[in-house]
Amino acid sequence: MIFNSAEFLIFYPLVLLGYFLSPKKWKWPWLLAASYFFYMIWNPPLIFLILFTTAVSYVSAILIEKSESRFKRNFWLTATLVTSLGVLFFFKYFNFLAGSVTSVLNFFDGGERDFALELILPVGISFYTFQTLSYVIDVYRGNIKAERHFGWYALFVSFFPQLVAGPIERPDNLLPQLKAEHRLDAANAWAGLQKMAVGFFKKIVVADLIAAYVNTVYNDAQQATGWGIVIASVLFSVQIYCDFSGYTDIAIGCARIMGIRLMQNFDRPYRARSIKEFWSRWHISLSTWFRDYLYIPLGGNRCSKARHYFNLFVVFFVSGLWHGANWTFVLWGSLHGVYQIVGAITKKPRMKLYAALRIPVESKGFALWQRFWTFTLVCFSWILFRANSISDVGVLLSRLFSPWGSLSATLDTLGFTLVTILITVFSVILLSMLDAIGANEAISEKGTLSRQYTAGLLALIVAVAWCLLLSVGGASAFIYFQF
Amino acid sequence: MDQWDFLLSVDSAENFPWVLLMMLIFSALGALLAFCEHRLRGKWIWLAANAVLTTVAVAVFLALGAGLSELLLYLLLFLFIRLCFVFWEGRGNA
Repeated sequence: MIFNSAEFLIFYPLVLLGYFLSPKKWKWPWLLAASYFFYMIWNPPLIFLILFTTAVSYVSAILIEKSESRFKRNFWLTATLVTSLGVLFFFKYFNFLAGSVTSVLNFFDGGERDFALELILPVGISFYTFQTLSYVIDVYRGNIKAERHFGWYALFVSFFPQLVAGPIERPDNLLPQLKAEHRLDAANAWAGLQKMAVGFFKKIVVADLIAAYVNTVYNDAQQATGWGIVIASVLFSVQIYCDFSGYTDIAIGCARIMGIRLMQNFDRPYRARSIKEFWSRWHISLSTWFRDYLYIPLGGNRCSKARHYFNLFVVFFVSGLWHGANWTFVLWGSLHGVYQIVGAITKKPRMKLYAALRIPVESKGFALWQRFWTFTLVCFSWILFRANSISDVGVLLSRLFSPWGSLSATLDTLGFTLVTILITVFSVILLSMLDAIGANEAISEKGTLSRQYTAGLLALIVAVAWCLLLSVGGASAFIYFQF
Repeated sequence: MDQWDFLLSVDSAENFPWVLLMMLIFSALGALLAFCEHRLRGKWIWLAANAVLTTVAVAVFLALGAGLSELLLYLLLFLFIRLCFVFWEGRGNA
């Protein structure tokens, strides 16, 4: 089930009704049943995969806690990592690896081997696998106690708002909240509804309306012009942000109405002044996961410079691979690793240069300049992320570095009119205003204009945009579902 | 045909210039009502007037044959005006 579907509009109020009306001992079975139903609407048999991952991590965490010798603790941790990552590898990466190997072999001997299996990629597998791994590793490190109640733990793994696209929650944040008694609270309900309205605005009004222009360019790379690639890449940077942060906002809003606070996943990432800062604002739950469970265990920055750069590259390489089984994602992650390494190497010389040239590094103008370059680098990397294949990346980059053609002809090809350009521009401006209001209490709390009316207007806009999308083919799934 | 003429091609509304004009008029009225709501805090009458204005605007656009795109553009414009007031107040209070 996806949030922007008619089924969800019936499902969610029913879940809320059952949650608030049921006694405490019935809350977890109700939410667990609802979460499994939410997942099974898409593909019922794959619920057994979630159950398997849940059971393995539940049992191994208890065994790790009970084990007295270090050897046994290591054994159970390794067994869990191999099992969970093995399942993830099989479903997500087997065909990718098999395809890569066979294409190399076929290239050398002209054969026609095909080792690919007919596998369905289970929605959200990367998200819930990482969530279970963080739980088991935290128990191993002694940061948390192993959960003895299977029901609560299963709910932690499969809590429906964040099951298929995050945020990747940590057990010490989510488990105690799930167990706590929550009553219907007006402040929580209002905050949750506002967050959901903003999420739906991002997804339906901005991301889905922009998607058509982006798809026109990226799904037919051979016909793309330089202008088309630039426009589509800038629009894709807005689309993917709105698509993913919109999902997160709806998830956070859904949980908040139930009194549960999920972690923040985005913090206005395109305001970042460096790639390093970008990653502290983009997909925060994944960035912090990699920091805590991969970067720091590798040695972080408390080692030699060469080792530090290696650690950075490994983290971003793996992050790229996490996003999808395609060389385009690996290239995208690796490029961000290179950005980080170059940023770290050139930091001191750049600071010396700014001082020598007497550039006021704290000025607003300089901040704007840094934001522009960071955004440009991020936009460039999105070309690798969005391209359908490595060969498409080659075509798009060659077009980008050759004459761009006519702007008016490109806009005409993309299907832009005055009205659609104005809708795009206004929706992006409104997006940045809504983000700023969400991030600044001085703006959001002290206004005299009716917030209820403004929220109602936002809901009306979402409804009109939804009708518009339905008239041209219907709502689309969230991009991050495929990861 | 000028190379930029395609921008003015509108499939949904034959009366597009009128729709555009009405959009500007209703937006100006929306700004006026938002200002009144800001000055006379908490007066439900301005809230009701805003709701009536939105309803009338939607009815007028539909009567002029405007499509969902034009309607969406007007609502975005209207929300933009309200958020500008929210920012203006927020900056003053910050």
